[in-house]
Amino acid sequence: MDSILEFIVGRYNYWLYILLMMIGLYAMISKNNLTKKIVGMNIFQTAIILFYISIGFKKGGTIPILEHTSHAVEVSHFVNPLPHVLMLTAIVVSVSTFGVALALAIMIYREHGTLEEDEILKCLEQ
Amino acid sequence: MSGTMTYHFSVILVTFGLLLSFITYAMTWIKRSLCLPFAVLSIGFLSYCSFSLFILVIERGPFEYYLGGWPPPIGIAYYIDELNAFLSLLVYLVALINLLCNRERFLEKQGDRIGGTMALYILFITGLNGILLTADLFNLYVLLEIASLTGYALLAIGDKRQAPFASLNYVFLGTIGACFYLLGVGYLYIKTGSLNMQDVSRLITQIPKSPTILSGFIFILIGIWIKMGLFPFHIWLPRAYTNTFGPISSLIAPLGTKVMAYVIFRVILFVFGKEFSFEIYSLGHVATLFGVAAILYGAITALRQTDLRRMLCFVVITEIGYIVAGLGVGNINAIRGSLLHLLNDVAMTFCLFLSADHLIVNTGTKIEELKGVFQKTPFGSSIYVLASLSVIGIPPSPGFFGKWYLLQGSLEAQNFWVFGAILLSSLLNTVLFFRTFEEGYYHHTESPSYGPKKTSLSAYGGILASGLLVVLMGLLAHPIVGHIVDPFLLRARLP
Repeated sequence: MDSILEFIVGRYNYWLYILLMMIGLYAMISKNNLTKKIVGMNIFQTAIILFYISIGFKKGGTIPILEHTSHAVEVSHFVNPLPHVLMLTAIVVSVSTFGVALALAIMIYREHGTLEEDEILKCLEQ
Repeated sequence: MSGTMTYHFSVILVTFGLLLSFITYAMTWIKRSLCLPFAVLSIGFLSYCSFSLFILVIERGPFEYYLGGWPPPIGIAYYIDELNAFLSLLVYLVALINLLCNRERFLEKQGDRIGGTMALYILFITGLNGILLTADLFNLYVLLEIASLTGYALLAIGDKRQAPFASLNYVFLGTIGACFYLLGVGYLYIKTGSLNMQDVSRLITQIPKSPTILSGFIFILIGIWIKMGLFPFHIWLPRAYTNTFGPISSLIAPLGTKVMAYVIFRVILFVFGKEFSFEIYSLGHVATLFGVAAILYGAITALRQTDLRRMLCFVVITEIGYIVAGLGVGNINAIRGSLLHLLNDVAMTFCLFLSADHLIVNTGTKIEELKGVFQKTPFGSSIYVLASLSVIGIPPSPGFFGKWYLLQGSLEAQNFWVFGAILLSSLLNTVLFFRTFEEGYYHHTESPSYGPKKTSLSAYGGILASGLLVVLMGLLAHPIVGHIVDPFLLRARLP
């Protein structure tokens, strides 16, 4: 029992990101409104960003800026900055994906006058 | 040009590509009519860089380029070998021919937004080129997103009303694919702490059976498979490519999927390594299964299409199936065949989509509207026939050589599923294309609603150039295998 609890609690960051990812995926698959789908997509991307942030973190670690010191530096005192830097780029990507998707949604709305997927499909079949 | 300068072309291709696309857009502020000539010049310049890089690699062998002089694993490296230099040259050639060929149609359709369209066009090929040359897993993700985002925007330019909706569906699936890839890279990073491909592959050999690496492997594979439109993940492909503006489909259909197919080879052979992928993770069975399914599904579904370009989209799905099935068989001849097929397919699919687009302009999108098109445009139709025969695999054409190695490899491996699927799909493709030939050649009913359109000299020139590209790839099949594909396989430590 304890080992299971430890398995769940000890890795709570992974559980959270999977949960968030599934919420996003669920919205993308099951929602009928295109705007909701786009928001779902953004949640999906955010989940991965949080995953990266959490793998760079260390308990009790601080920001990785070194002052001029003569003695050796203990690596475990500093969080790993690389995943965080990578995520700055990924955030830009996710914002631009969001932008492109919304622009396409505007084009669709101008064409069909609605953002409900079933109505658009009905419109396209005619 | 001195040799040291040519080394820098590897990064100039990407940085200047990004820069030139923004300058192209800025041309709108000076004079709108300057945008298209400037875009042609930019792509011409980039093609020249790519060509001299290719010559350098052929002369001196593959090399690594460190961005800013920082060696990996700290800095980002670009790795240039014969295969990706050649593929990058093909990407630029296809983009240049396509732009010159469809100059008038771009101006007619996007006249008031030509600056933005051309900027996206250059960004798209720059993204693809970066994917080909980079040796850094995260850099690959960023460039993949550059190529995808511009691809979504370009595909939304449509002749038909469905285009934006089809493109948005592609955005959803494409984003899932890219996110899975990113997640996979994260898993590899947890275990190895590195993003450089060579470094990761060195570190992975020390932890062969880690479940984290396995998860990373699966996520990366599924992510790229979604992007390349392999069978169960292909849903976005026919819709997005059918409904878009013709010249865009002849740019994206040959390039997008093939570059992602190259990434599969790069990741499997150079990051995870052959032993790990095939022996520990038993990729062979999975890839064979998906590949054979894609071949059969593509070939059969193409038969019941009534729309010409939609039919060609299913042909693309079949071709992707060949490449993955060849990888699944896993011996040297099959992998050589699938790499050769990948290269040939860029030329074949491009020629096919370009000439089919010419036929569509002259008649209509439906296959039954092709009646009498061979009389109306004998030149465009004959190039279409050339490309179709190459896809079927008639001997001197490039399609034949790829299939020959694939069949040889699958026989050596006693893999009769792949062997049968390739033969059957070639047969089905024959039926498929002869149906369109029959409509075009034997039925002479003039459809009154479509008159023959005036085609400019440059459009004819472009179609001819694409046909020549196919013929050249066929004639040069032997040197391509000897100087481009085989060195790649040798470095991947395939026997």
